Amino acid sequence: MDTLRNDLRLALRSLAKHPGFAASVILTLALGIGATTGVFSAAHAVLLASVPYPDPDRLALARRTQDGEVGNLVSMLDYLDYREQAGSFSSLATVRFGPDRMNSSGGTRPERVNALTVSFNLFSTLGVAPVLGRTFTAEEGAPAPTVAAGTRGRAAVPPVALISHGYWHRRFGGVPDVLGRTLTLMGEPVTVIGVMPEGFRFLSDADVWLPMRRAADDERRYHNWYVVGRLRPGVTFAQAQAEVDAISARLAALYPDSNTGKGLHLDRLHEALVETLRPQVLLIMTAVAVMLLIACGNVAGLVLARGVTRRAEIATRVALGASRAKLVRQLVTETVVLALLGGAAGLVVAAAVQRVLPALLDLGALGITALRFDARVVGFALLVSLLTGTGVGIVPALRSTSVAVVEELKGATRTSTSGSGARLSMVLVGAQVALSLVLLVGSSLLVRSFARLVAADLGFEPDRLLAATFVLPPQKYPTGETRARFYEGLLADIRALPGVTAAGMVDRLPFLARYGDVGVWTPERPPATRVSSTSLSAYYRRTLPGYFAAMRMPLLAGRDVAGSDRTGAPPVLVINQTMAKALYRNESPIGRKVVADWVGAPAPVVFEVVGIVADARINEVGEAPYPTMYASFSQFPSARLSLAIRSGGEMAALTSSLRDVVGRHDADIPVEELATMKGAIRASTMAQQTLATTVSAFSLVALLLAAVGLFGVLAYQVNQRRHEIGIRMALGAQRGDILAAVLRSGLLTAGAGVVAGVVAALAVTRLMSSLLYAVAPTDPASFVMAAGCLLVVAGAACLVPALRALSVEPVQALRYE
Amino acid sequence: MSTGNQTLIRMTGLGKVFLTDEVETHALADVHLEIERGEYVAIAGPSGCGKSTLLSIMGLLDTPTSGQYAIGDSPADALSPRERAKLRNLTIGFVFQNFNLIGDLTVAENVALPLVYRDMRPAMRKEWVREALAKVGMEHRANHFPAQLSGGQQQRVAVARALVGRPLVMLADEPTGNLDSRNGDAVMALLAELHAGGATICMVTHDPRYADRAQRTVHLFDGRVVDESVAELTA
Ligand SMILES: Nc1ncnc2c1ncn2[C@@H]1O[C@H](COP(=O)(O)OP(=O)(O)O)[C@@H](O)[C@H]1O
Ligand SMILES: [Mg+2]
Repeated sequence: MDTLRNDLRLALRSLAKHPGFAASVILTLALGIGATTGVFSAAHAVLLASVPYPDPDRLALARRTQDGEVGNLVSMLDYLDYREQAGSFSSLATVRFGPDRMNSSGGTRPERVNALTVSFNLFSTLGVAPVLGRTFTAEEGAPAPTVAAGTRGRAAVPPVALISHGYWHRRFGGVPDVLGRTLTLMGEPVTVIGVMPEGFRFLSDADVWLPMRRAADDERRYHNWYVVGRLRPGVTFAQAQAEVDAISARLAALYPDSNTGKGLHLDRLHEALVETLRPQVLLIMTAVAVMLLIACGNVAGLVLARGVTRRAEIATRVALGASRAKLVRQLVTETVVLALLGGAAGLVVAAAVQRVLPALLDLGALGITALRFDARVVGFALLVSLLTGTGVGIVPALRSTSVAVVEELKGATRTSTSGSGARLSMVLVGAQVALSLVLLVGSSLLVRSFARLVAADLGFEPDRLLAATFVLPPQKYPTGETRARFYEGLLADIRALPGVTAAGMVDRLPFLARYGDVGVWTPERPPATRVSSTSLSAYYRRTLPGYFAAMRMPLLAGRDVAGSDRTGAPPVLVINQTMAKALYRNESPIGRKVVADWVGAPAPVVFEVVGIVADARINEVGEAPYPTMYASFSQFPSARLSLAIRSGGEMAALTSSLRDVVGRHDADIPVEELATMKGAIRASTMAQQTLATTVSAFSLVALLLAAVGLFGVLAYQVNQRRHEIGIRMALGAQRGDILAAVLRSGLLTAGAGVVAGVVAALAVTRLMSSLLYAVAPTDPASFVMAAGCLLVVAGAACLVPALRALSVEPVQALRYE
Repeated sequence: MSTGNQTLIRMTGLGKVFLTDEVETHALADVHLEIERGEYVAIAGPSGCGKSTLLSIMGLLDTPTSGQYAIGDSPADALSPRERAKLRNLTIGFVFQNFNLIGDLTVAENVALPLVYRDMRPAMRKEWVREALAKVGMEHRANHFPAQLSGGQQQRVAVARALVGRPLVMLADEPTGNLDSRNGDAVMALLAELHAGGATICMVTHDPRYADRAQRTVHLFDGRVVDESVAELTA
């Protein structure tokens, strides 16, 4: 203990005497350790920890499989059967695939809330209790007594809701007597029975949770529900899976039309939720670890250089009887002290990284809203600091304590050598260059992939395109005809607004409302069963006339849906190119019939194809075109319709004039802030952008560190070799020779690093291919760009020491006193 | 015109003033000195009198602050750094007190350096290096590193490096200063041998025993030439 205290005292004193050296080491390590620690806390949450619910290892996400392929959502009727029959679960719960934006009235002005429909037992399944009140009872989530009794069957039990902590404060000011108050959702009064804890989130953001009631029109073909279960104690996943498989087989036998080939796949909840997140986090973790390695290489180089200048000091200590072990311990203590100081400073960096990561990575999917700065984070930083300090110090310490004492003490060196550490320094720098090249290639690939994604042709023109969604309360607009008439009148008035160049309406806008597909076929080739896997699957959309023009989607043949395509007239369809090709190959589909397993229709609907429209992306920028069909809204009217509006004017003004127009038609219908299509697209490419920016940021820091490392080693070597340079000049070397020699030494090192880096990158980037869009992991341009960028920076880093070598005056360098 | 009487080095009214921290040091003042081709000249004087400065100017490593200096037919004042380096490489061979070999290079590589800077063909270079090493008796150590040699051997290598380029003049600044007397004598014998073979040598020394080996000794004091003595020719 005493020797440790003594070592520490000596270390601190020695560092205080070299503040420049100490500061650069501390700063470099602060960056490396800090960033690693910050990313670690996210990686811990994603890769090591579990979802933030009690006893998380018994929670399972149950996903539908179709012919062995894992999908996501389960039909409600299937869920109810599994819930009833599967004894492996202490409870099996369900959540609708996304929140409904519901009109909420009764406040100062109509607003929209996120209402998520869940089974009554979701909260008990997860093991989360409300902070106020209670959760749903089984009766509140019970199926409607009979299908014929009513559309929703809500009359039996009064409608109730749980609200989120945030909504409680926003809407009710956080008052404790919120229980029993009423919300009016879509014109229906709903009683608040409980408030969920702060930060509680499962799968989707929600202001309000409503109990799932079995809808009359539900069918096994419609898959809209996530299923989550809690295994009974003692039941393994394999046992539960076997039981579920048996139920699936029974269901397939009972309902061959909808359940053939269908199954349910169980995964640990955490595993399933991190599936998409894992490769991203691994990549960022790798990038930051590589950056830390480069920082270590850098620091090791500095320590090594300092070791050489301390040879005389060390030789003297040896001569005075210090053992080598003692000296090594003393030197390593110094780097450990530096690393600890660096780690302490790095905590600031870590906190900053923690602040930005949850938003960048979609950690909310795991129910994580913020990363905690806790003892684990500090502990990790401490551990990394100790490892770094020892790792970075040990080799230079062994090197500089192996001095030839006699030579050293004799003082006069008769020959000019570059010092024993020179080669090792160069190897260190080469390794730094190689590592930063790997990072640069990785980030170039991600940046190019992202650039291609952003520039991808969407099939419609997103510029200056704004969106709003309306929902009509069913009591006031009970029939399709009333809804169609309302929206037609509204759309005509919106088109007349000043500044509006075009407007169209569709039930689901690209990127704002995704998926939604049905089975389709031609009358000539009907499928054996109605299960979608045996027929073609196509997205279905309903539009009012003029939607394609407003979106600038070119109509390739035939016509748009028209005002005359109303109830009573034969159903018409505009299909996209991909669907036309899939159904009719090279024949013209215009005038032909298409059968669709239309949602809500008791029997498949026969449509006549009247037009072909160009393909457009629906869910993701990077997806392949998917068969899509557009029916006439007037023939299949829904309550909900979205507006796409193209305008040259200002958004705030447009929102308010839009409110006026809607208010004139119906004062009870809320109008949200307009969403920009660009924003929706940006949100959909967020993950790619996050990866590209984080990895780029880390690789730029890495590049900088490698350049500083190269500069440092060369500058140090030039300094060490002033004498040799003097000799060479005396022997007739030209300035150009000297410049070339230093540049060659630096660039050869950098070049060797680049070659090693290219080889390493070729091996590593293959693992990234799933994260790239339209860019091969061996994309030559990215490699050339990265290598070029690195060599230019390396050249710049070499130039300064090289120019400094030129300033060597041979007479001075050769002076011998 | 007989070759023995050709002036190789001509200094007229040469002065050198160092300016450090506002202090002027007159290292050389009004030096007149001529060295003939084939001559062996010693420069002697107490420490700090300007011997090394004189040799540096002679070797085109430094420039005078006044007066003229010419080597061969070339006046040295108007040369660009590039021309000075080239002229130095072609006409001057240096031997230093502390040998100044490059530790990372082998003996042969050290000796080859002046030829490398001359862009000589490797084959020819190899031949010249072999010859130079033969002249100093160090052929057998061609592939050793300087650290593996004794001080005397290192200085012989340094001499080989000085003569490998067949310079007009060899400049040696206290070449025996770091050697014991036996090795010192050996190096002096080597220089005498080279001189006998026709080399022009200018050597700085403060050891009168060694100065006597030269044909002529120039005595410096406080930067001025105070005396010149011609040694009795011994057989
Ligand atoms: N670069 C320099 N700057 C300032 N003074 C110098 C420099 N080089 C030499 N001198 C001074 O010039 C004088 C002559 O030095 P030098 O030629 O080395 O003497 P010697 O070789 O005879 O011992 C000395 O007084 C020395 O201090
Ligand atoms: Mg001297």
